[in-house]
Formats: sequence, structure tokens, C-alpha cells
Amino acid sequence: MKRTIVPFGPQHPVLPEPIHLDLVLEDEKVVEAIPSFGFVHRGMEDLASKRDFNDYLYVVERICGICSYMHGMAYCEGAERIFGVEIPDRAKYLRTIWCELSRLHSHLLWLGLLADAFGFEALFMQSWRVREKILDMVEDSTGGRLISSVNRIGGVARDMDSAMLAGFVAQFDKMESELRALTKVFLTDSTVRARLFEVGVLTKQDALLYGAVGPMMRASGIELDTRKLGYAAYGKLDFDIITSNGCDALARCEVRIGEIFQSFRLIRQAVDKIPAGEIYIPVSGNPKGEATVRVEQPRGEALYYMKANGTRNLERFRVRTPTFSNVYSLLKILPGAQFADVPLLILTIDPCISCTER
Amino acid sequence: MPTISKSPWMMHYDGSSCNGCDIEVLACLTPLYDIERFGVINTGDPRQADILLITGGVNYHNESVVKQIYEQMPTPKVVVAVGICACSGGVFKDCYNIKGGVDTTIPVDIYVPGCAARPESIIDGVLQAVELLARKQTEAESATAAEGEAQ
Amino acid sequence: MKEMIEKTSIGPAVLKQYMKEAAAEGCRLVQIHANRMDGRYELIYSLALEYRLIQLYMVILEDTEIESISSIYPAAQLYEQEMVELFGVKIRNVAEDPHVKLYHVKGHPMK
Repeated sequence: MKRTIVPFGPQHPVLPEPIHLDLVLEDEKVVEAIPSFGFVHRGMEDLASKRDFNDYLYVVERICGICSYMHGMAYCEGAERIFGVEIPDRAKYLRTIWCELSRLHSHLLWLGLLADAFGFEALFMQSWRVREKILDMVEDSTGGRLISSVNRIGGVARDMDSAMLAGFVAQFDKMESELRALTKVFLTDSTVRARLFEVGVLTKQDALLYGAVGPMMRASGIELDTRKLGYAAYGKLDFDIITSNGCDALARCEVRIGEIFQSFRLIRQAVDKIPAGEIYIPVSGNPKGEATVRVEQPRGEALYYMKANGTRNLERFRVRTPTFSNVYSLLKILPGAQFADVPLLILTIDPCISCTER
Repeated sequence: MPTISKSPWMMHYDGSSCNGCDIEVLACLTPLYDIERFGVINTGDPRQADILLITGGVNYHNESVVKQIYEQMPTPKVVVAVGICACSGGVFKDCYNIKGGVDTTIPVDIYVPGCAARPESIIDGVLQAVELLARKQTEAESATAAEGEAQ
Repeated sequence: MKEMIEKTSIGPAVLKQYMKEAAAEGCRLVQIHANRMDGRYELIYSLALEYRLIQLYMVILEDTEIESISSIYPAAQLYEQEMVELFGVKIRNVAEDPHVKLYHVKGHPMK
């Protein structure tokens, strides 16, 4: 059959971010997807050698505006391991709470974008309406909506008092009931199911082989969550790893929805258990040594590698972001899909191109 | 009489931004901020757009894309640079692949500050763009009218 | 759970064999990256088995050509492509698809 090549992106109405794929089609069916990136590549890893390691924290936070908090936290965690300092317990709990707030806003953002991708505009608006409440909490506690800059090497820069924490938890009940109604539409509505069910199947073996991470991997039945490593205060909190055996787009949706409710549970526990005390211990001198940190971002496991040689600048900073790892799976689930499902499939990996290219 | 100011169409392109400003641009469309109450509609098609919102700086690879989108838009058109990276390159200015702000590639009319730019300031920027668009349209119309009289 | 990181050094000659055994054991590839050292590259291959992280360090000379592991871990081709574009590491049979281009940068900016 005659093959057609359709360029997809970089400017595309469905995705706010630029990604370019050359889709090789036979009629409406995708045969092959050839990626071409570089529209957001800035060269941030190289900047590590030009910036002071304390200042570089603010650059790391801007790898991605959505998981900004977790990038900053992982960088500080790595630097603390190099310095060999243990941060105060209260700071660990505060970090956990902020992490889960960013997971909540990221997953709600994704739900909205997914709804937009299959043309359910009301659902998009409703998801983002709930998301704004989370952003209000982030803003109340850090001062910024997306880029919060509250991490410091040695702790956190701001505290949350008990009235603020209680105020957050008090809002959760209403939000949870709103979200239950909302997520029911995602999981049971027949028009939504028609777009998601058995679309973009990635089997368990393939997920392992192609290096899928995060919800993408867990939706293929692999039970792994880097939070179980116990960084920040996760080691002292109780939570389940949400998995699904569906392996399709609906399963990925299901896993992320499960994680939303799990995040509420984690924040509630952290608020109950948070100890009083210091939030910061001063760290001085220049780092020397290397550290590898893994954290679970909303999109999956991210790996940070830092190498310091005793000067003000890091010798090497490397981050492997979850989307970079998931891109290969995306390229493998696209062949065989219908052309109309392509934007939807790209969205199911929860792409973050600025993370991927740095 | 400029009518475009009642229903301008806006297009968003993500340069090399960190995603923060993009998400805030999208947040402007959602119920809390609702930029559509000013008649602004987000479109994906440059040929129908009056206002171009660019977030993030320009790198050597997307330079041609930005130029192409700008050229595809009908005149009069207004370019809004959203966020500090789009204004000047921001924290990424020293990166090897960053050319600089949007104004290194195409003419920019409105600069919106912030990292990430807040929805309120993005709405302010868009509304200023709408005013400018109306002014540009009036100028263009009177220029054509003067030309007609001269003939 | 305390994070376990195992560090091993490895030579380019046994890399592929090691990867084959790791894949048979069920390890997944987490990432590959290069570090610049004077006149040499340090390549780090990270593998993970459940929550265990295995870091393989491989130091090679600038002009040493290494074997691609994308036949064992297909996802490795993106990481290898990245090293080729940014650092100029020489890798044999890097991608099954020659069209894949990641960053479109001129030269090797991190070389």
C-alpha cells in the first residue's frame, strides 16, 4: 500500500509543547513514528559548570515548570548526600507535603489535558478548576504558584504553621468528593471508554524492555514506586503502589486517578505526624564527591547524578527525566494506532518535553 | 471602526520554555481566570490568529518555526512575549543552545514579566495586545482610505 | 527501605556480555550517560533490579569505539544517540533507525 508521511508538530493544537514526529501512514493507520526533538533543548546540564552550586538550584528548578518542586528537592537531596548532612525531620515532612501537592496538581493537569485531547471540554475545565485549589495551597505555603524555590541545601526555606496545615486538610474532604464525581466520568462514561479502552497497549514485558517508568509502567502491571526508597519522609508514611493490569490508555488514567487519592492520604498522614523543630541546618564549604538520587516524580522515576570536585561549580550534573525514559515506549505503541489517536497516545505518557530535552 | 478588539483570536507557541508559563497560559483559559470573557479564543491555526503568545526563549532549532508562524499570521498582528525567558532569555541565557529572547528573531510588542508569569499578568498582557491590535487596524484602515482618496 | 547503590567498573570488551546477563536476570535499563574527563570519557550505565540500583562505570579513551547495547535494551538507542550528539562518543551500530535525531545541535557542545 502507498505510504504517506504526515508531519506532526512542533506547533500542534493539542499539545502545548513542541514535539515533532514524522508519522508514516498507510491510509489512517500509523506504520512508523520517527521522532525529531530539539525545539526545547537549552543545554542546562552544561550550565552546571558556569554557575555556583547554590545558584544552580534555581536553574534545576526550571528544568520543568510542572515538577519544579521535585527537581529542586532532588538536587538538594543529592547535595546533602555529598556533604553528608541529615536534614531536620520537620523539613523532611514539609518536603513530602509539597511533593504530594505537586503530584496532585500535575495529575489533575494531565487529566484535564487528556479530556481536552479526546474532545471533552467540560471535563477539562472541571479538572483544572479543582487544580486551582491545589495551586492556591502551594501559593499560600511557598509564595509561588508553580516555581516555588523553597528548597535549600540543608532543609527548606519556609515553614507551614499548624493552622495552615489544618486548613489544607479541612479542604480535602470537599475536594475528594468533587474529584470522585469527576473521575467517575473518566472511568465509566461510555464516550470516554470508547476512546481509551484497549488503545495504546503496552504489555508488561515490553514496559520492562523499553524502560517505561512511573504510571506508564504501573499501568502495565509492574509494581514499582521509587517513593518506597524512603527519601524525604516517605519511609515513615504508609501508602499503596497503585497498579493496573489493563496495559492500555484507560489503565494509565486509572493509575493516575488512584495516585491522586493516594496523595491526599499521604498529606493527611504527614500532617498528623509532622514533628516540631528546626527546618534548616546551615551547610558551608564546597561539595566534593558524587551522588546519585532517584525520586518519584508525577511522571515516574527520575535519576539525578551529581559530581563535585571541591570547587564552587559542579563538575557534572545529569538528570534522566521520566519522559525521556517513556519516549521509547511511545514510539513503540504508536505503530498500529489510528491517526486520530496519535495526540491521545502522546498524552497518555504524560509528556514533558522541556524535561526530556533540558 | 475596529471590530477586531471584541473578538481577537490568540495563538500560543512554546519556544524553549520550562513549561511553567505554558501551563499558566492554559490556566488563563480555565474557569478561574477565563480569558474567554474578553472574547479571546485560543486557536491552533496561525492563519486565523491575531495575537501570538510566545513563552520561553528562542533556540537555534526552533528559530525557523517561530519565524514561520509569525509570517503565516495575517496583518495586523501583535506578538506578546510571556515570561522572563521570552523577554530576555532568563536563567537560560548562558546556555549554549539559547539564542536569546523572542525579540532576537521576530518583533515583539508586549513584554509580560514573571517566572513563571502569573495568569493575571498574562491577561493584562493580552488585553494590552488587544488595544494595540485595534490601534494597528485603525491605522491600516486610514492608510488605505488616504490611498483611495489620493487616487 | 534504604537505597542500595552498587558500583562496579567494567571494560568495553565485556560490556555486551554483562548486559546480556543482566537482561536475562530481569534488570531494567535506567539510564546511560557520559562524563567528560581530560582525554577520556567516563560512561555510566545504570541498571535496576526492583529497587536495587547498579551503576556500571566504564572509562574509555576519546577515540575508542564502543559497541552499542541497543540490541539488548532497545531503549538504549536514545541514550546512546544523546551521547553521540552532545559528547561525540563513538558508538558502533548506535541506532536501528538512522533518522532519529535528538537535539539538532551543531557540533558536540559538551565535548
